[in-house]
Amino acid sequence: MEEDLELVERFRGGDERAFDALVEKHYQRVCNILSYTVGATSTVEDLAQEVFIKAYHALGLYRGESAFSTWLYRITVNVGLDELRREKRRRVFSFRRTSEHRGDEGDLAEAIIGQEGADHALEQRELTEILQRALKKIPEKHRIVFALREVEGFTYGEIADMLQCSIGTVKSRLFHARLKLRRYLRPYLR
Amino acid sequence: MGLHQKRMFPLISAFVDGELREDDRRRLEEHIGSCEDCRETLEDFRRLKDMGLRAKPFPITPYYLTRIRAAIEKGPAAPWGALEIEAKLFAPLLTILVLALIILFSVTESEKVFTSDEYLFGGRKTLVEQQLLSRPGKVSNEEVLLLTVSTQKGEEPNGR
Repeated sequence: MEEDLELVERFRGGDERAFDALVEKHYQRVCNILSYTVGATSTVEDLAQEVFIKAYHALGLYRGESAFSTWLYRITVNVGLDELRREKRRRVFSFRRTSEHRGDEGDLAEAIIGQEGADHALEQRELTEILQRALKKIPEKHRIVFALREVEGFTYGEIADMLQCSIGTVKSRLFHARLKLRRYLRPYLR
Repeated sequence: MGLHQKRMFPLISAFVDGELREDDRRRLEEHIGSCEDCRETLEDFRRLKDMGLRAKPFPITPYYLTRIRAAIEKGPAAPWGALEIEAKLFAPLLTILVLALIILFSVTESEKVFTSDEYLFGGRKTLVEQQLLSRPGKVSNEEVLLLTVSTQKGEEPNGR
């Protein structure tokens, strides 16, 4: 598979197919990041489309200071955060609160456990759902760092670059995410 | 979280990521051998990591490239697109507007100044006024008083 920078150069040279190759190469990961950031499965592919449209129009501004993937995933995280802000506004105006924002943490943990059952031999699909539901309960800044590190396997440095924060902040957020998730997922961790 | 946990747990978090310096790593390993709490935390953090690695990728639909291409060729969204009010917002906004109009109307109505006649008789002339208006010439204060008293008693006021 061609390197990202080669594809970027070909695209800048007028080869539209090079952009298609970039989409095909990164689409799955963009969707993964969005699904953990936003949580709502129905909007993920619309948001992924938004990411690639933004990238298409902004590629002229990309100077190669960071890896193309880091640059693209930074756009992805920002699109995800914008969607979360829009969702918050929608909640305010529609006078409704979703169940995940109600109740205290202990009750929520029990709700997860009660519905899914604390079976250690969980199927991958169930496990993903449980993890996603638990991730929804923790603050977005913790959730994003956890997803980027534990699900997508980025390094501390790459995450710091994507979120434009220090490595110390990444470490701290990851630690807090783990502590909170540990509380919610304790029955699945034993 | 106790002081010990505050100090040790962030180190354990960095340890499971292999991001701890060699000397810190060795010290932590020694400590974990004798601390049940830290050992449990390390195991939980490792299992969380494993859970993340085993998570299923998002199920993408086919033809995503075609859709992205079509959206790019369609061109950027209209600048006023962001100002569009979503359908979900319409009902609450309309309710707020109607309530505001009702409150505004009731405040205006409550501040309207009525004359005593308008207030008591719905704008009609009082019996005393009708009697006074029907009399030619100037009417003295005594006659007004007499008419008022007789009207209140329910008597038919006498002519001059």
